[in-house]
Amino acid sequence: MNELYELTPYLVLAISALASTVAVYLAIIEKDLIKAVLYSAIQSTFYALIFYLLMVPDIVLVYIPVSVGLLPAIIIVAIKKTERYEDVAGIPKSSSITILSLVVAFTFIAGYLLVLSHAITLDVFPSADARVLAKWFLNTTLWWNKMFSAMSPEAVTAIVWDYRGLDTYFETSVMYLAIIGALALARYFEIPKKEYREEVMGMSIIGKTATRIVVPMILVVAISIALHGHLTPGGGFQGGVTAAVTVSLLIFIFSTYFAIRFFKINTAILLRIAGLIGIALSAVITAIIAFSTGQQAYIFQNQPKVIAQIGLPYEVGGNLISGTLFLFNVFEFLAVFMGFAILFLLLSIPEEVIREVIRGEME
Amino acid sequence: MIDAKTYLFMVTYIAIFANIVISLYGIFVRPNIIKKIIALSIFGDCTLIYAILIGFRKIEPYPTIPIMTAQQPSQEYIKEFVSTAVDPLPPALVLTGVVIGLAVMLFLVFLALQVYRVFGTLDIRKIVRMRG
Repeated sequence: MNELYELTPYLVLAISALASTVAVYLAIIEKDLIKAVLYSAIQSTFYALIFYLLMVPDIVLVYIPVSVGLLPAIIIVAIKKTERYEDVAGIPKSSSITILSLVVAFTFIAGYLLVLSHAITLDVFPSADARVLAKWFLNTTLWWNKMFSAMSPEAVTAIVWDYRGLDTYFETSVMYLAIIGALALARYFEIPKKEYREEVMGMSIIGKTATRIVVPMILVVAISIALHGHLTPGGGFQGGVTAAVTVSLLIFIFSTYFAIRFFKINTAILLRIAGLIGIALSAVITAIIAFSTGQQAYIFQNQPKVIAQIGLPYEVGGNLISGTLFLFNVFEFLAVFMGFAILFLLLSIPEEVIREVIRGEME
Repeated sequence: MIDAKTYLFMVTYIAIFANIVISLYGIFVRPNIIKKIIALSIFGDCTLIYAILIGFRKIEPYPTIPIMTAQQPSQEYIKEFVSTAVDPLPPALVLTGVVIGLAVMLFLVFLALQVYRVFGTLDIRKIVRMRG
């Protein structure tokens, strides 16, 4: 009995992977795009379960708002603005047979590679041992020796913002550029000035009342996820995408004209830039303190190092704040939240307004 | 040599590989741009799952999350933690990957909408025939 109990997580892992394969197959062969998006959301739910069973709660927190909530909502808006049905004329009728034969062929290749890797390394795939680098990170994430430690019990946040901080910095700039690209595509479009009227716009009163109750709760949870990022699963990215769900709820349940009472595009751009400047300042804050007192420091330095003896306090009044990690989480929350708020507001501009502008450009 | 846990883990590995194959079929063969974007997002998720699978460890009875639960850990606690927690590096990479993936997907949706406004269709075969 005990053995079966220990086997359960692996069993659920395998079953949810197989179920996700069915959902992916249905999503790809479905002609109705709305149904295809829903199947892809089902696949994302199974993937979230897989992430949970693989013991990475940080990814679950960021993956559920993104892939089960935001992305399907956005693709459904895009489908509403374009075509609902896919034109499959010209694609051979036997496409499902093609898929199945491809899957069988490549599954054999994957299984062969797996067996080959077992044969070469004489070890089974989920090894009981971790890599040396992983052991180093786990050993030093919260340690008495501050010279080598990030002073945070959360190893993932410590890697994201301390050990590999520069990587995350440039990945944030990739997101910055993607949003700049969307803003450039929508450069002349403006949300028309219209008064929001409760009776005619948006969904029914049930949906609106429920949203009015739920939105403050989601915001509180999002802020709590962001501020506890250095202690528990979570951080700036997870909190930011969770908070972005509120903007999409306001737009879809009420209307754009209700949402822009709280989030104007220009204000959102300003707050996002404030968040990004905050991230840049947090990266060099130790260096600024050190240079003004005539000492040496690194970029992205959190705790004191051997030749750079200055660092931010890792606890305030007995509460662990892990130095710069807390600042990074707060500013990343602001940048991600406002970045996605901009994208949602741009996406919710009525199509007639945009067509008017494009016709003007073409003439 | 291969016990039930390893076998079930291999089933997971191969099922995700099948997902990659099906989503690549969707990207290459299906004509609608929105369908291509859906397939691309599935493909991205599959690669992220592989990154996490690499960091998994087979610990008896089950590995723990890479987060300490003690504020002032003792030497023995850290030793126990290092010997049971999963690799924290893949989650750190995947974390930013998911959020940036969403931003890039949104940018692709914007491009698809712009294509629809200019050409009046999302069928890639018709767009190619129009030649601008």
